[in-house]
Order: sequence, then C-alpha cells, then structure tokens
Amino acid sequence: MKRKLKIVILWVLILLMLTGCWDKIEIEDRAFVMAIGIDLSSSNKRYVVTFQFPNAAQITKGTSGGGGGSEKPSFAVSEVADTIFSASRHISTRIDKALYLGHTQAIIFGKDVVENKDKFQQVLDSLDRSYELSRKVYLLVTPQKAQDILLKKYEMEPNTGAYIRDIFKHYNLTSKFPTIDYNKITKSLHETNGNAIIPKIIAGKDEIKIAGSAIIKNYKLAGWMEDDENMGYMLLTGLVKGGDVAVSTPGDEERIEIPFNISNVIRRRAVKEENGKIIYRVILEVEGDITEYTFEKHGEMMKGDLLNVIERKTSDEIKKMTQKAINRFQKELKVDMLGIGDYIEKYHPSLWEKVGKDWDKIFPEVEIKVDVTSHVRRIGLFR
Amino acid sequence: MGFFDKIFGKKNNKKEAKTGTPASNSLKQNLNYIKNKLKDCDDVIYRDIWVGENQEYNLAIVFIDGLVDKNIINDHVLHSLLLDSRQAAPSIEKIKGNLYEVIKKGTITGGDIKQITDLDKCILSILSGDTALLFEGSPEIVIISSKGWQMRSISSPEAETVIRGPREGFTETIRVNTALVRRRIRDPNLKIKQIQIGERTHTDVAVLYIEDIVDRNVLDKVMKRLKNIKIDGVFESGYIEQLIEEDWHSPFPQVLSTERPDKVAASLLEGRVAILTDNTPFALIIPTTLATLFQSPEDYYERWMISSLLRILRFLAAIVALVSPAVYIAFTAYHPGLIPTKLTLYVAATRQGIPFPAFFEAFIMEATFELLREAGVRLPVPIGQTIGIVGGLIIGQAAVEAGIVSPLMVIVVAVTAVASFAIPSYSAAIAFRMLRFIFMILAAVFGLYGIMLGFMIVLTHLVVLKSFGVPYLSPFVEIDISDLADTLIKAPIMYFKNRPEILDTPDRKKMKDLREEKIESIEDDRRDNNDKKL
Amino acid sequence: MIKNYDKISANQVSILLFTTMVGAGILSLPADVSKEVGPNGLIAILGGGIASLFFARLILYLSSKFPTETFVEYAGKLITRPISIVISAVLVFYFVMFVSLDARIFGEVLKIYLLPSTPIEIIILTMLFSSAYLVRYGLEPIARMSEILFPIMVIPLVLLFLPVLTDVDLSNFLPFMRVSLIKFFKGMLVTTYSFVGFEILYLLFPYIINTDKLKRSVNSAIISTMLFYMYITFFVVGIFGYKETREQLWPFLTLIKSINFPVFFIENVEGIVMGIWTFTIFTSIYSFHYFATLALSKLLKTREHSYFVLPAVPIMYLMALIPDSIVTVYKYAGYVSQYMSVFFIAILPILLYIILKVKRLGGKDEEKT
Repeated sequence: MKRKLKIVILWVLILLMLTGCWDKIEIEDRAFVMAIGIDLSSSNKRYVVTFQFPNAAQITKGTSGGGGGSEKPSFAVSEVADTIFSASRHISTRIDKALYLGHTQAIIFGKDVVENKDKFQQVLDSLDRSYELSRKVYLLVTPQKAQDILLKKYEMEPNTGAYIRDIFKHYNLTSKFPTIDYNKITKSLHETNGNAIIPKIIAGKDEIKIAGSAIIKNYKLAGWMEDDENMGYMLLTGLVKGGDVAVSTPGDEERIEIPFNISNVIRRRAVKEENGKIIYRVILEVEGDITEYTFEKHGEMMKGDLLNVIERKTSDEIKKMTQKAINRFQKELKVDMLGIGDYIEKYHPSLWEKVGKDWDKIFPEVEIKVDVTSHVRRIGLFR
Repeated sequence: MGFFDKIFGKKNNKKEAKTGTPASNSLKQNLNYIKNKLKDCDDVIYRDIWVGENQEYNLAIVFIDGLVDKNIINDHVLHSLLLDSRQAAPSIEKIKGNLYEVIKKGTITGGDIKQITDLDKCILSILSGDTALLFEGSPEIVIISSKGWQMRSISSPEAETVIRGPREGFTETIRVNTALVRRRIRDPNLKIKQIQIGERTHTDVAVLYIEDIVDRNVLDKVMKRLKNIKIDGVFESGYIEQLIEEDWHSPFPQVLSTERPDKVAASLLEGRVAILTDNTPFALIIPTTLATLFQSPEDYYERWMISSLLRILRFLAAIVALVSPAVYIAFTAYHPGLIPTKLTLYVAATRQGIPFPAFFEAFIMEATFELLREAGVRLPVPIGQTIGIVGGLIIGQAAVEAGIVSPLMVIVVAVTAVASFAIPSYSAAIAFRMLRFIFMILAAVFGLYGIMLGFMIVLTHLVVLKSFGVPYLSPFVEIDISDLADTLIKAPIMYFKNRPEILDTPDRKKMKDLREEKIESIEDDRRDNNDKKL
Repeated sequence: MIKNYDKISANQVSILLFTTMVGAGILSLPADVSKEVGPNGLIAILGGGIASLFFARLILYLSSKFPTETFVEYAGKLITRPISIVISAVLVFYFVMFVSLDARIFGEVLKIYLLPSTPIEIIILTMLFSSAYLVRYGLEPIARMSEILFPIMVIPLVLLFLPVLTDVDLSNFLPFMRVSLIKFFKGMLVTTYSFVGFEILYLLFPYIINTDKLKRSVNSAIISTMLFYMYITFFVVGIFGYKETREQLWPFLTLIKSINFPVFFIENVEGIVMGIWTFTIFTSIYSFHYFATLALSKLLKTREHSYFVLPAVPIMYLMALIPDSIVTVYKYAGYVSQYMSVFFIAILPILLYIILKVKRLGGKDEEKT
C-alpha cells in the first residue's frame, strides 16, 4: 500500500511538471535589446521608447558567408506608451520576437525627459524596480532625441548598444566623460535627493560620441558640462584615471602646447571650520608623462628647469579646471555634486550634525581650496 | 517484495535440501548410479581398468572430455595404474584389503587428491573437471584434480587499460585469478574462502580478505548475504552483485567491479573484501564509495601532481557528463540573461531556423549518440570503431547542415560523451549517462531550478545510500581529512599513513612515517656531500 | 528503508547548525540592519552573533542536563506538563512557520530572477517535496547532506566577492557608532531572523555521539555564521552605502547583478548564485522540516517521525501561500522573528535555566558552564 501510494504521488508530480515549461522561450525567439532610448512624446504626456536589438540571423551570416548585403544588422523599434514597460508590452504587437531586456547595455534619455521632473522620476523608478534589467547598464543623456540616435545605423558597429558599452570600456584613455554606471548614478540620486551627473552622448553622421555630461539637480536637468568643467569635476571627485592636459610653455618664439598625459591622480581631502566658515581643501597629486614636445629642442628635457616649469604649468591648468567646476556647482547651480557633504558626514560626523540639515544653504558659502602638484614621471624615449 | 521475487526467481523455500547418496561397495552399482544421472551426456567418458599382476582388480575412471587435462589422466592416472602398479607387485592380501589405500597412496602420481563417499558429490566433481576413480569393493572414491580446459590466456584487461602499470587481467578461471592475487600478497593472512553458489550451476565463488586488517562488519555482511543467495544459476559476478547489494533500485553501483588484480590487491590491503567468481574475469570489491569509482590504479603509480590533477579532472568530467545538455537547455530557453552577451547573441544566431525547441534538439542528439554507442558495441571491432567515430561526426555534421540541430548542440553532445568516458568505472559512467536524461527533462521544465532540483534529489539518494554499512558518499560526509587526501586529489604516498577511516579496520597504521625517513635520508646525503666538498 | 542509527557526530552538528541558520536571512539582512543602524550594520551583526552564541550555549546547557531527552520530554519536568505540551506544540508550529516563510521567500525570489511565469505554487511544492524525500530518512542523512552542501554553499560565495574588493569604499562604514543604544539594540533584534536555527539544539542532544565536543561545535557554528553574514554585509554596504542598501528589498542579489567577472568570461555570476542559494534555502527548509516532525512525534509519542513528514507538506504549502505579497511575507517574518523567536531563543531558556537552578534538577552533569 505504501509503495503504491508513493508511485501515485510520483505520477502526479510528473504530470504536473509536464504541463509546465511556463517560462520556456526558445532563444531564437527572443529579441535581445541592446539599447533603450526614452523620449517624451510631442504632447509631453507619454513616452516614446525605442528598443534597439541586433538581427541575430545576421551575426553568423557575417562570419561564415561573405557579407549578406542587404540584410539589416540591427533593428530599432519605437513605441509610444504611458510607461516604459507597457511600451515593451505593446511592442509585442509588432515584433514577432519576445523582447528580452537582460542584456541591455545602455539606456539613453532624451533631453525632454530629463527636463521634466515627474516623468524623469517615474522612469528612474521603473528602472530601479525592474528585475530584468541588469545593473550594469550605462545611463546616458543626449541633447537630441534618443530615438534619433538609435534609429541610425552606424558603420563602426551596427549594434549600437554594444558600441556604447565598448566606448565605456576604454574610459581610462581620456577623461572626457565620467565613467559612472547605473549603480553610482542611482546611489547619488538616492543620497542627495535627486542630484547626479550623467554622461552625455551625441550622434554624428556615422558615429556616436560620448563626451561631457549632464548635471541633474533635483531630478531635473540643470545644465551641461563640457571639457574643462567636466575634467575639473572628475578631478575633484576622484574619477580621473587618465586623460591629458594641454600646457603651454613660454617658447622662445611661439607658445607651444605640451600635452601632459595623466597616469594617476591621488586625492586627499581635509575639512576645517574657521570662524563659522567651513574650509574644504582638496589636495591633488597628479602624475603623468610628456608625450609631445618640439622636435628641435633636443635634450631640453634633461635640463633641470624645463620639467619644473611644465609641472607648474600643469598644476595651474588643472587648478583652473577645478575652479571652473567649482564655480559651476557652487556659484551657478548651488548644488553639491562634489561630494563635500558626503565627506563631512563620514569623516566629521560631529560637524555634520551641526550643518547637515542646512547643507544646501551652507554649501555655496564653503570655501574650497585646491592644491595641485604635478610630477612628470616619464618623457618618452627621447631626450 | 513479492512482485520482484517473481522476476528474480528467488525460490526460497521450495527446494529440499540435497542430501547425498552414499556409494556402495559394488563398482557396478556406483557406476550405474552415475551413468543414470549422467544419462544422455555423451561427453562423459567411462574407462574400465584392470590392475594388479593378473589384472584382477576392477577400477573405473570417469571424467568429462573437454574439462580435463588429458595429459594428467594419461601420464599420471592411467600410467600409474596400468604400468606402475603392475610393476609394484604387491602381495595379494594387501591389495585385496586395502587396494584402495595402496593405489591411492602409492601409485597415483597426480597432485591433488581427495577421497569422498558421496556419489552426488562425486558427480559434481566430475562436472567440475575432476576425474573420479572408483574401486570395486570399496565405497571410497578418489577424486583426482585434473582440470584443464581451454581458456583465455592472461591478457590485458580491455576495459581498464593503463599507461603505466601491470597489464595482467583476470581470466575466466577462478584458480588463475586467485593465483594472480596471491602473487601480489604473500601474506599468510590473506584468506580465500570458497563457496559454491547457484543451485544448478554450482559456480565457484571465492571471498578474499586479509584477516587481521579486514573490516569485520563488512565481511560478516558479505558472507551472510552470499550464503543467502538461492538462485538457479550464476554466470557472472554481476548476478552476485545485484543479489547482495543493498539497494538495487539505485543507478549507482554499490560494488566495484574490476578486471585488474592490482586493484583487488590494493583494496584488500585497505581492509576491503574481494569476491572472485568463476567464469568471469570481473572481480567485485566491497565496500565501495563514490570516491573509489573515480580512482584508477594508475594514480598510484604515477607522480602525485599529475594524478591529483587528473582526479580533479575526472570529477569535473562527471559533472559535465551529467549536466551539460541540461545546462544548455536551461540557459538558452530559460535564462539567456545569465550567459555573457556575446555568447547569447551567438547562440541565438546559430539557432535561427532550427525547427526544434532546445530540449527536443538535445534529446534527439543524445539519444542518437547512445544509439551509435550501443550499435558500435555489437559490431565487430574494426567496423564498430569506425561507425562510432564516423557516425558521430558525419551524422552530426549532416544534421547541422540540414539545419536540424545547431552546431553548439553537437559540441555539447560530443563533450558530454567524451566526458563520460573519463570516468574510470564503467558502471558509474552508466549511472551518469542515465541521470543525464533526467536532468535534461528537469531543465526543460524548470530551467536552472530544475537542475538544482535534480541535484537535490540525486544527492539525497546518494546521501542515504550505503554500501555494506559504509555511507556511499564517504569521505565527503562524516568528514575525515586524512581520507580526503585520496579522493579529490591524490596526495603523495608519503601522506598515506593510515588505512581509510571509513572502514573499521583493526590495524590502522600501514606505513611508518616514511616522510621523516625520507627527509632524514636526504639530509644525510646532503651532509655527506658537504663533507666531501670540504 | 534502511535503518539508521540516527546518531551524528559533533562535527556534523556544527555544520548542520550553520546550514540551518544560513537561509533566507542573507538576502534582506544588510537592508534590515542598514535601516536601523546605518553604516554600523557590521557591528549590529557582531552583537547579534554574540547574543546568539550566549543563548545557544544556554540552550545547550539546558539540554545537557537531560541528555537522553528532547525538549518535549524534559520541559515537562521543569514546567508543569500542560504548559510544556502547549509550548512544545508552539515549537512545532514555529518550525513549520519557518519552513513556510523560507519556502515562500524562495519562491518569490525565484519568480523574480529565474522563472517569472512559473506559478509559485509549483516552485514551493517541488521544494517541499524534495525536502520531504530527504527528511523521511532521518537525522543522519540530513547531517550528511548538510556536510556535502556546506562547502558548495560557502566557498563560491566567498570567492565570488573577491573581484569587487576594489570597489568597496571603506568610508561607507563611517560615521562609526554614532547611533543611540536603543537603535543599536533594535539593530541586533533585526538580526534574529538570520540567526534563527539554533533552536534545534532543544531537540538534538539525545542524538549526538560525542557530546563532549559539543561546546566547540556550537561555538564554531555560530561564529562562522556571524562571520559569513558580516562578510556579505561588508561587501553590500561597502559598495552601495547604507542609504542605498536600506532601500532595496534584497541588496545581496542586487549586488550580485552588478558583479563583473571578465576574467572568467562569466559576465553574470547571478546564475551561479541562484543555484547556490537554492541549496542554502534547501538546507534550512529540510532542517526545520525534520525537527518539526521530530518534535511532533515526541509530542504524540509515536516511534517514527516519518509518519508526519508527508502530511506536513500540504500544511506548509498552504501556510506559505497565505500572505498576499512579498510585503506581507516580510511583515509576518518580522512578527515571527521578533516575538516568537525572541521567546524561544532568549526568554524561554532563561526561564528554564532559572527553574532548573531553583529546582536543582538535572541528571548527569556532563556540561559545566
């Protein structure tokens, strides 16, 4: 009896299982979204969501045969909907494959989205809650329409999502854009009540370019940062891993631009309170190489003073950059993106208890001093 | 249990105990009894002999042609009886009264001689290849050992070849096999107990163990279970294996079978018990754990580092063989997010246009492969090999080109097949082959969770399984570090000081700490060298 | 069914304790402590661990006074029989409750990360049946199973976090200890859900072979659990910071999603972690399942616990489905852990200890505190 009961139970279980396979979707029936673009519709009430996914069939044809020719290497489909994810559902009325977001590499926000506080917050929340999206996606903002960027096909890499991801992989070669991924952005947004920096992306004719960043204050776009400001910001927040600074020397005849190639930045911070004023010091030690000089001036490098001059000039340039960033944040935008509040809260908790509540008002009054020392470590193979 | 009784035919209480039939004094009567029992057995040969000076004493020998070594009969038995005894010229009285004794003690020059009075036992001996010598006027029958039949010479074991190590394998004759073991262990404590199993086959089965080392619990269990076997015939050790195993439901063997005498000898030294069966070269080693199924004797002959790596490789191979197709199914159909992006796109690309879902594809390929394997076994050797390789490659290739399966699937199947060959024990490999399909089904229904479920269930089964009282998963459970040294990796011999802890052996230490000795000797050498330099 | 002697060694006890305790707790632990004590989550866990150690040893001591009896039997000697019967029944219910909770949480996590469309009932049911299959065989197989799964659970998780060591920002643990004492105790309280598991010591004593090594086993089990939790919380809070951690439902899993393992070509370690986590839950579920049926069999004075194993499954299944959503699940978990757990872990042992000393009861004095 016992044995029969066991067999019956076993059969029931097996039958239960066989009715299943609820989640099975064959891999070729999926569309792997590589990039998502989010814009607002013309009425500003709804979203225009663009999904870019590669044409799977094209991938192997490219490798085995010789060039498919007219086959499209990737698709991009747009949909208008009230929320992001209902967009992905509605799209299923038009695409024969099931959208899969787990491999999304990048999400691009169009300018209109970040200018609209409510809509932006809604989008961010849906990204946060999502379980399908990986946390490794890169967020980007574009001054154009995200849709435009994704609908184009780029010769360099037709799979736009992968294209963007690969650009981020080489971030340490330049410091033109902040390499912050989704984690850091959401962290910043959560902790500072809506402030963050998001890299900027623009599309050219045949390629895309990621440089500069968008400043988000209180979940709204507050401005753009380019070049120097961006660099300064990154230096102050310790994000710099590489990049170059152009330094001019007082040449005999002309001014020569010497690029100082940064290899390492060490950042130290200190906070003092003096006479009711908070003084925040950032000490930067920059190491780098010299990669270009003028051809005729041989042997100049080894002569004592030139290097010192270059170092001093570099420090000045860097200081200028940081000053630009400081001005932007402190005077213009009056928002603390430089991590000063965070620093005080962690390292000087007693001070934070005094000023934490009114930090937004106190921040513009903080005196920020930046000390920079540069060291030239390598000069290439030539004297 | 009744259901399964019918299958295995354990006729427990139906047979009457066989009592013997005593021989009578009359030669004729005895011979008639034998002739009756062995009626219609035309390979039995009866030979009447007359011995004595005047050839007045009647003897008869009975043997079976084909089972006996004719030389022994001709040179030793007949020669002695017919010629030597004539020349012996004993006195009549002596011969008359103790004819039997005289002849037996005096003339038969064969080696192994027994005497019995039971006719049934006599018949059994004849059937085993001995020669029976019957006397007129005496119920005593002399049984002369004359076994000599055609048998395979000692050759390399086919299923367990090694690069380094002895190439002797057991043969189908039990005496040869026990000799092979004896040669390796010249210890008087090596006991060989022989019993006969099988109502009709009376197959010789020998139980080997080393008296002062063996785990008594195991030995007792083995003997008890062997004695309880009541079956018509035993043709192979596999019968015995199934009849004494604790859990014959399980796909995992609880008894290790091997053709190699060195493996048997090594196991005996660990305190295990070995069973040799007549008519098969496969010996059984008891008890077995999952770990022993992954050991190959070569591990002990080669250097420890490579052996350790190979052992780890084997474990990984087992897992691969078990789970690869299931993993493929789970990740492509259920969780493409869990594999790297580039790989995902590649797999999606290669599967474009394949008409079957992943599970079906995997199933067909695996089933086809099993078919090929099975077919390859049946065909004569040269064709079999070719079919295996050619079949696999060509069919796989053709299937890919026809667009029925994806190339990745073919690779997965091939890797699985190869991995299952890496497992030293064939029976264990079979187990993994079968379980593979269950994992595939589970993966097809539940994805990754299905594979986990599979593991949970299989592990539960393994955890409960015991081989003659020893937990099957020792030494991973009831962890004892010293035993682990011989499972996952193979530590250098220097570290094997004790016999396995899982076996309850009386004598633990099997080796002095050779490490210390070795280190000492190295130091001595170094000192000597230094001295020489000075 | 092969008869087991059903005695386990002190070593196995240690491992069994560890695997029972480490269950669904690791998912939400970093978030819970971050909510209460901010960046000092590690210290809260340390405190929780030490407290658990104290109480575990207390329970051990109590049990050692009655070396051949389980709690169900010896409680009656300390408190009046009717009350002890009630408490034992509640203990059974308590264990069953944890099975249901863990099974439900497991189902929820699986639905989100692995099998979105599969009905949660099936997930829970299969898990419960697997547990039942094992539990029917008794204590020894359970201990062995834990021994096998223990390294599989622990080693990969420990190794997995190493690549992200560089991303850990130690400043996330500052400011240091600027929370009020009350908040700190609340933080410790929150960790109870994760340390639940050593109540099985109430029932284990008669089944242990060498009881003299038990003190060390219990110590090592609880300390290892504590260290393990601290390790995980270290990484979660170190990378996310406490403000972000407390917002998330399962910060542990969110962290896993962010780990990149480019060296080994495994971009997404999520898969491995999901697999391992299945085992983690499995070990907790079958342990509670077994001890629930054991206690029940002692209560009803039956000889075999296996009678109750299968019938318990539908009960646990239904209980697991009671909460409407993950929100209510955690609410229940909160109640159970903060009231019932505290009772069984802290209040009851202290009470019994006092009664013991007062009545001067107890058999062989094997354990000296």
